[in-house]
Amino acid sequence: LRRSLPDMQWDIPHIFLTLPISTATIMSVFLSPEFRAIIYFIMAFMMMLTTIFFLKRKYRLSEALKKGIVAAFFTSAVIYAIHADAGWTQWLLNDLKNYGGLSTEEKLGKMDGGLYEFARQAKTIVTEDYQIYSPLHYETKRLEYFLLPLDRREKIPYLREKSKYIIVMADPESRYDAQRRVFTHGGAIITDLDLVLSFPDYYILKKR
Amino acid sequence: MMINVCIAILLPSILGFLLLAIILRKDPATTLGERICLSFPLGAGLVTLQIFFLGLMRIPLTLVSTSVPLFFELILLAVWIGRKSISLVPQKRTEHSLLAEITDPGNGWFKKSAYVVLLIWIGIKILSVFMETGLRPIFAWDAWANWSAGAKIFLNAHSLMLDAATQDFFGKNAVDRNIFYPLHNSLLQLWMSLWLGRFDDTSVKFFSPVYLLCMAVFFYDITSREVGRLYALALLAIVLSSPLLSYHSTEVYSDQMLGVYLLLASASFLKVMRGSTVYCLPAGIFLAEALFIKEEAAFFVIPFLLSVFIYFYKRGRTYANISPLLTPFLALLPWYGLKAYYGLTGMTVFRWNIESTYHFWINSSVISFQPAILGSFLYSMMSLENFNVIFFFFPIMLLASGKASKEILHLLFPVVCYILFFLMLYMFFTGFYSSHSMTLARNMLTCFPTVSLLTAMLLKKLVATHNLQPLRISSTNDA
Repeated sequence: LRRSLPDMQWDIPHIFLTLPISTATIMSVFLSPEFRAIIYFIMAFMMMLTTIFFLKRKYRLSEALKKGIVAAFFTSAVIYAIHADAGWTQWLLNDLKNYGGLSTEEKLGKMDGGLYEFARQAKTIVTEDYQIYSPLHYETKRLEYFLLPLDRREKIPYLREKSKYIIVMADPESRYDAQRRVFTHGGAIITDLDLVLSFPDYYILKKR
Repeated sequence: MMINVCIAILLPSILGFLLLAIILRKDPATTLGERICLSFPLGAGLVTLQIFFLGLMRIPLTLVSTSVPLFFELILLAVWIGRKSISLVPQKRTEHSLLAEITDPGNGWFKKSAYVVLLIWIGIKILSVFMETGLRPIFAWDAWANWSAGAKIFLNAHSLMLDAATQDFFGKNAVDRNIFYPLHNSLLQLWMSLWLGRFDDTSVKFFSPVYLLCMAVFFYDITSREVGRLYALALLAIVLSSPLLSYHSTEVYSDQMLGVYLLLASASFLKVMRGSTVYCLPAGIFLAEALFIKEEAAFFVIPFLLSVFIYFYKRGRTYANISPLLTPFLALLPWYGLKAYYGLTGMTVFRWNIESTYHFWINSSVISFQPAILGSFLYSMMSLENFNVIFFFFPIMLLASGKASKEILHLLFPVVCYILFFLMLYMFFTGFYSSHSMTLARNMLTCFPTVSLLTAMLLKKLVATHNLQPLRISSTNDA
């Protein structure tokens, strides 16, 4: 404890810091260690104070302790709740500012940026199962989600090369020669491909 | 669009409400509010099971094919209720309302102010969860990559994609789908989408805050009988402040809704233990529905059934009471039959045989004893992250409240088994306990509402001591 205490940042903004929720997933919500320490202190203090108060009023120690526990529970829980709901309000207000009054498509566009716009246009072009060449895991999965019910082909090379549509997302290994209409990815060479959609980092090729 | 969302939520609610009116016709103690809160979770579970049966029978999953059976059932139930003259609104009003409590001149201004403040706080919180749901489209990984991906595929194919190779069932592993996962979440999204006319990433989520609303009002109703209205309201505000619960209630995850079903099953069993044996059937339905939401529910349901069995066995009444509780599980036979027949189990799709099982579980690196996780687990449970101080105080209250009542023990047993199951899973299998104990938080969310109910029951024991008179130590003073 002695070692960890100096590492804490005892400044007000950090104590009550609420981190924004990442767009990946909600698995845990940040609680600053300083605030946690404060809550532990409040628990101990309230329990001690209430127990002493009831001991002074001639209650048995066990009964006074029970009252101490109840008091410590409600006091610390309500303070925690105020802090947590303040963080929640901050998040809500932020989202109200960012997404209020927008349609679902506009919200998705704002959330996923260029990726959603690319997916939206890709959806009008890609008409059957496709293959994606991309080192980006999240973006690839997100694009797959937007393109549903069309399906991404298995990663087996034979099936890959059979795909009529090839989507490339910021893949440094992929090269497309527009003059020769040839796509290369490592050792794989696919010919007779036309560029049908192009974004700064992403593009779609279609087999003739 | 909002009208369609309302209809999609209202129809299962009406189904649940009518069913409850029949099941609880001899139980006037259940208030109208409680019945309404139980209605949506009950009806939604039945609707998704029904859609699954339709899909299994290769009936195209369209709005007409999924709604017609429901309307037919509603008419049938309404006729039955009319013929049997079953009252939809319970006759007996047990206590005076919360409003009467606020206006009661017998209550001091402090108590009245506390009621008003807590009510406003809770109201705003629930309203804000609905608002947030409407603000953000689906954004959380598991929500879109697994549950919503399935819903999108079913919606487009108008089927469960069962006319394919086994590994391609339920839209195979499109995006990040797990084909052996139960279907409640995806089918509920499909139901919403059918009414919406398309898959809308924002509107499809609205059943999630409805689950929270149902849980909140039901939780208040049941805990107010334990610890009184003021403590119940304070406890509800504390439970709702759980950041993880709030955030999950705006998304289409399955953890929050599983938590709601486990709470409803536990509360129903509590009512059974207090004499309302009619609650055996709802308890069974909620447990069966929980199994159709997430696989891990089995590790709550099995000890739960054991606890129920012990309870009735000790009273010499086993079969008559257990049978209504077990009957709803029959509805899950097609689901488990399909999974068993096609080998849709575990981490991958394989036919169940000794060799593959041995290879998967024993001869691979899946099993690995990691004792350090125990410390991390205990630290996370006590760290106050995500669940307010509920998990921190729960063991303290359990110890402080003295000898636990039979009711508490029977409800506690499945919760302890469930938590131990996760602990064993994390300690003995690699990959289940991700960094910073994040998986733990989501797993614990599923039993958080039930632990909160148990906390209320323990508080009842602790608060009851307030009425004790101070110890008279000095006899000379009396003299």
